[in-house]
Amino acid sequence: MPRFFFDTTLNNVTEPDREGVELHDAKTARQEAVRATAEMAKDLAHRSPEQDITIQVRDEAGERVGTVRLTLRIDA
Amino acid sequence: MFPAGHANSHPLIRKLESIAPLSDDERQAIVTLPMTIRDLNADQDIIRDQDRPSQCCLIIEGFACRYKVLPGGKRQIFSFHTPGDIPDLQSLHLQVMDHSLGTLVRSKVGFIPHETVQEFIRAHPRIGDIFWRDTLIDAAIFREWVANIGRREAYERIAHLFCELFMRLRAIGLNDGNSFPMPITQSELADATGLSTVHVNRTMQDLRASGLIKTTKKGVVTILDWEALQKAAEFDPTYLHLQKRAA
Repeated sequence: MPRFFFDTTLNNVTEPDREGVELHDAKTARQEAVRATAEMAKDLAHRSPEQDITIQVRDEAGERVGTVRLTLRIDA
Repeated sequence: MFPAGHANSHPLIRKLESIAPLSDDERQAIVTLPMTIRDLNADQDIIRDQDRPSQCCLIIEGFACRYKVLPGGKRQIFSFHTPGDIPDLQSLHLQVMDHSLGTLVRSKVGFIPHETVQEFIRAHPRIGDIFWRDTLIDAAIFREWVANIGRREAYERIAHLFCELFMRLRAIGLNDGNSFPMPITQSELADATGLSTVHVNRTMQDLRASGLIKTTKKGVVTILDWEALQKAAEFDPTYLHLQKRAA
């Protein structure tokens, strides 16, 4: 199976993924990125209500496979 | 039958003695308990959902898990099983399997016919009590897993699973100091914790970066800071009801 890398940016701080995860294909990698973004938002929600989360997915050659962005804002 | 002269290394003795004391007679009875030993490959089903088993399975070597595949194809792993566990003991009283049991790595398992287990319990009622105690601890572990999956964040959740596996493996002597075998892939870890593989992978990198654990490609986990790992996991081992072994 091909390996995909998921670089995470949380409120402007980027953590590059040095290990990657083996997944079936690019479509599965994008779906996994969506799930991971939602899970991170859930974990972070009660620490800080406003979040900007970006996961950039790249393949082993470094080519961009997709980007998932999630912004949580409270309009009071 | 289990090879003679293995009383101290018999996995069932080690397991039961981790939760209750055994007499010499009881230990001897376990050693002579007849079973058919089979070698299984990794990722092989031992029993499947809806089966009606006529025997119980003792994990002798390796790692197994209870799991269920939902109609959409998603899998939930309910529990991990280590040598000495009889994960389908319930099949003695519940005729139809309501989940599957499979290996995670190459494993050696012993199959014991239900009738043999029943005669064994009748002949050694205290061992029957210990099986009951083990079943109650099994339920306590499930309660903790519900709290873990339902209410803890990924970082605490995975740290908690490491704490649990370390305590359980140490109780049966399968640790090497602060290191223990954990031949579980990230995808299996994701199925056990209800997280995506990507989030598990990221969280594992965080746990390593915090200096709490170290892992090898061969599936050995080393706890670098046991106090800090327990604190991060909010881990309280009461639910494992482990008994201190007599030295």
